[in-house]
Amino acid sequence: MISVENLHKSFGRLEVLKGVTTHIDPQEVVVVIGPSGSGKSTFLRCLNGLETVTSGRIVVDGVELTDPKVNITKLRQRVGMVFQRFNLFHHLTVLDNITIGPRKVLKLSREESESRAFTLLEKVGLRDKANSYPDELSGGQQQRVAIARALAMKPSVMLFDEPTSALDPEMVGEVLQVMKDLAREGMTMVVVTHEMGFAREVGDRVLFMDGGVIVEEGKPQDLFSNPKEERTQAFLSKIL
Amino acid sequence: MNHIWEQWPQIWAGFLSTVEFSVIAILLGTVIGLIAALMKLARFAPARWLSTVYVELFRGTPLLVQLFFIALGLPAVLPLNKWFGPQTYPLVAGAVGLALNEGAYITEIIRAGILGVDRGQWEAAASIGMSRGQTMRHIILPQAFKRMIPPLVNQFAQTVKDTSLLAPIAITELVYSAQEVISVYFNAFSMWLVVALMYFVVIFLITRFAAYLERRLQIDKR
Repeated sequence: MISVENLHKSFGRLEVLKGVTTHIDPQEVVVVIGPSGSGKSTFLRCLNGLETVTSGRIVVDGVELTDPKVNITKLRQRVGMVFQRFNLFHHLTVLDNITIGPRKVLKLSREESESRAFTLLEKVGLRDKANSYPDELSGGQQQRVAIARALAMKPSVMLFDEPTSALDPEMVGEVLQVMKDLAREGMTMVVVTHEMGFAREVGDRVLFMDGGVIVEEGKPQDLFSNPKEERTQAFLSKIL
Repeated sequence: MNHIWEQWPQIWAGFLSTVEFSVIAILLGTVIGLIAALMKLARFAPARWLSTVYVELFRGTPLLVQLFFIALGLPAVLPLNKWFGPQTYPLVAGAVGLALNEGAYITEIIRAGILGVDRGQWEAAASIGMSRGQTMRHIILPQAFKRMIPPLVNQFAQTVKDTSLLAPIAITELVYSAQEVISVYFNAFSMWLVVALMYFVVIFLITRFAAYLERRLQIDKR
């Protein structure tokens, strides 16, 4: 589904990604962990072209993203993304936040977009909030709307960039629950997170990143209980 | 005060002319400002340069000089009076000059409003596959518009006042009409008082309307 080969990314003279190579299968749930500044968010943002890569090759859903001739806008329709700070459209209702993509990008009718939106709102438990504005919702509710907005495009991959980091503790659970449901339905997911419980429970594979490279990867139970690399051990001992 | 009532039709005609030029300059200036702002934010470098040159030229010279240049300077080298007619060209020059001047300031207001919208909004729109144009139109501009209202209204009020600089190029707006009346009746005190009051009423109405608009838009948050 996603293959990344020798990905490098620099911001000016600062090299953030120093050769990342990995492959993500369809329906796989990959959790990316690592200390802040390790490049995990940048890695994720490269996967839908929000960051232009410095060198290397990324193929998503059969499309080579790093090919300058590729229409990234088109590809992004199939790669959903959920942000740390939700980034809902403040001037639109919950319903319009979800339907604007299907209507303006996929050119679906209002009726079809709305029926899609209501199905998704049902799924994330917010059907009664359809006519609210984002700023009237709690953080957890906003993030669930953001997930619904991404899903409305019927993406083949979902990227999550620290989706619970900006939430009050009591709201983390409701967002993780939606993500767990999604994983069980077989969505391909790449999740940057600090939620180790989530990684253990639904992750098929964990990537530990530090210093712009993948230091270690493996099944959650192996990586968490038996980390091989010193850096992984040091990181896990601090957070577990 | 009697003179004012006798000369009321002339003053009123001048006032209407002031309102007309204000409306034209505001509308045209806003269109020009929007286009120039989008050009200034474009990826295509020559569009940015062109827009920057325009803004700097019109902000860097006095409006009165711009009006003289367009109304009196240009016809000296181009047959503009023939093309538009000698009666019409000064009016066109006044309206266009005013609109270009206001447009330069409005460009910066709109540009600042667009840049003030959180980058996350761009990224979220991009992540659902929206193009730059779609994002600008459906996501950024509607949100930018709300934060543009106060500075835009300020500029619109300024535009109404700036129409008084059309008097020196012989357009019979409010100030010009007042001067004509005064030259006959020597009622400078009462006349200028009335003129000031008329400007004040128009600008007061504009600012009240803006306050109302701001309140209305507050209802759907941010």
